[in-house]
Amino acid sequence: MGISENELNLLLFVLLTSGLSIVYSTRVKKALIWWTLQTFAVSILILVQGIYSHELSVIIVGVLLLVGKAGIIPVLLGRVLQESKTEWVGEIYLKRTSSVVVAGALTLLAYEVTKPLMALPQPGFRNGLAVGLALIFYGLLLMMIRKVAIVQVLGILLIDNGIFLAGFFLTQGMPLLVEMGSMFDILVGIVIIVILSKQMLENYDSLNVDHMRSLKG
Amino acid sequence: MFIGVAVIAAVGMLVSAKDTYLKLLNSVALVLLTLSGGWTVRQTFLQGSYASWSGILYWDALSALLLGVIIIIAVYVILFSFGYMEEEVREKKLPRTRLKWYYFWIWTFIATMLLVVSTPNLGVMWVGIEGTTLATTLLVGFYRNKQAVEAAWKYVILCTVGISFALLGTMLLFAAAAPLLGQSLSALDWRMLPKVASQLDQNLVRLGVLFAVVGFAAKVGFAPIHAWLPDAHSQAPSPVSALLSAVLLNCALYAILRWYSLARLTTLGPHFVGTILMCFGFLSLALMAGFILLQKDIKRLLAYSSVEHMGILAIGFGLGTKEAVWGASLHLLLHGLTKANLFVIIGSLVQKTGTRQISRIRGVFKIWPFTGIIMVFGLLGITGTPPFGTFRSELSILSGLYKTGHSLLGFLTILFLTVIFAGFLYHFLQMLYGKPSGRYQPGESVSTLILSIPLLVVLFLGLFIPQSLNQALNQVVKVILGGV
Repeated sequence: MGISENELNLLLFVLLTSGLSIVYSTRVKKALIWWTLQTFAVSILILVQGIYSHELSVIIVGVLLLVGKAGIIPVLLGRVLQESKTEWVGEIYLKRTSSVVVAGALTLLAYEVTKPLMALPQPGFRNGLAVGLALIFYGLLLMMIRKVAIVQVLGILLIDNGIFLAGFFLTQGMPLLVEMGSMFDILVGIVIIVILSKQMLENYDSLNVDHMRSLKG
Repeated sequence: MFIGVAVIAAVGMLVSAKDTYLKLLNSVALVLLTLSGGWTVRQTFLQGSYASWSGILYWDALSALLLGVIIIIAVYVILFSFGYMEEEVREKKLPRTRLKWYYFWIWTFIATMLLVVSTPNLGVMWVGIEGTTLATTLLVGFYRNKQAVEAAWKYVILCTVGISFALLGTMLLFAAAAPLLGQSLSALDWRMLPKVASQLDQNLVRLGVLFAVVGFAAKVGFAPIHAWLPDAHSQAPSPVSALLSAVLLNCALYAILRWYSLARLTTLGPHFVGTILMCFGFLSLALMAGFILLQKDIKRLLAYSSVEHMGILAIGFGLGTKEAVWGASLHLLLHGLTKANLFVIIGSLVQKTGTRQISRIRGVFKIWPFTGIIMVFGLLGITGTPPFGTFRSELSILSGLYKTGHSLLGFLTILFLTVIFAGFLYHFLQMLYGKPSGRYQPGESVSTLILSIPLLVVLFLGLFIPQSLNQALNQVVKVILGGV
């Protein structure tokens, strides 16, 4: 037996609204907090499912998610933010209101795209699959319309959450080895990105990727 | 086994930055890597496949080909690194203490690539490919100046996004295979998957294959998703550029090939992925012809040429006839050797002249005749001029195109290759002749010629292909076209 319909819908609501809030944020710090909340919700979802279905490997993944992604990554990124004194997300191409409208449209698109796959997962999981895909779209959107390096990283992390969710609802958990490997990769990736953004600060004195225009042709 | 060697070597590099210590440790690690890896390659080709650790690690002909390429290029590049990095330290471009980090990341990079070609599991393979991105990011940004940081940033962001789509693809495949093979690692095992390939849910597999191929394509650097590639290859230290171009791209292509050979057996039919690959291939060739013609930066020129060659490989593999796949497999090996050699020789040229601008390098023949000779060899090799081996492999891909009735595509391919040849000839002749700009000490020792060993091998393989290599390539063709 798995998670009940009501609990699932509540968690999905949290996931979707936190995703939209990241798109709506104009302060990087707020976006980071929303992302942390979202990842927290994802790990709760995994943990609850693992406990209900008595599967140890799912519980392990949930705990790793809670400690690794919801715990370590926000601290690392928060430090870089403080050092760089970056506050504004750099809304260059779309202002906050129009970006939320676009995100809404993308949510509809996500439901449309997942239609052919609807027959597959258990009925309660269909929403989850679409929400996962919507988060991936939000992440891509964020990377295209925002110009601060850390926000682009948040975009990647949002995509990662979306893929994790979609994968979870499709497969009820990948093999533990693969889950652990991909989580390790994203952790190391964030550490490397933090190192890089420190070098970026040394060179450009800002985290705005618009300064990086020297390589062309 | 050799993965362990690479990991231990990587950690060992951090102990001390002393020159003798690093050289000694590197040499020992290279010898061990060559012995254990070479033995595995040999066993694989003799027996058809080879497993160790009760099947957790597994090689067939295709993985053994890649393994061989990785080892050969790794040995060549690391030996070249000794002198090159020493010179960078002497010119005060880098502090000596950073050398240990350089070798640490190089060996981590090699270890992740070895993991990619040693696992029979598509999920673990994904972990390895993402690992290669992470291991190389700080190598790309190793000089820590504005341009290097920019290149590294683009590289890590674009590749990570691309690769995450491949993860989604892998998950979709798992969702399709898990009901048939069980919720375990075996549902992503390319030894098991072909047995159930025809029963997999078509919707899931189609989406999964699409995501995976397009995701890994970003990592291979196919046009139009190649934006990161010229930046990363031109900003990295030259030995790293050689590794990136000659083996990393091949590893990413290997991932696509695994998906390709699996997708051929599903209900999608043999040409689904092949057509995608050929589209990528032609687009890469067509766009790169323009970029190469107009290029001003010598290392970017070589990087664009890598995209072009990945395009040729994609056409060959995508075509899916025996002859074309044979040619593409040979080309994979030969392009690796040629490109590694070119990056190494151009790297030392750039180090000597202090510029990457083609217009500021003149009269190489007058000042450094031996470097000039190797450059001529490299020029002929990379453009597929007879009698170099690359001519032979490109020819068999082309004849594959004509034999399957794609005469228009064949014509276009030859046209683009000619334009690229003209571009290379134009840029290289400018550098080789003319009046040397700047004051350089003329003359160099004959020992420079040692650097040309890979190109000599390519030349040799153009004249004569040993029976054992031919058999090995035939095994590779069988793996790609016929499942396991």
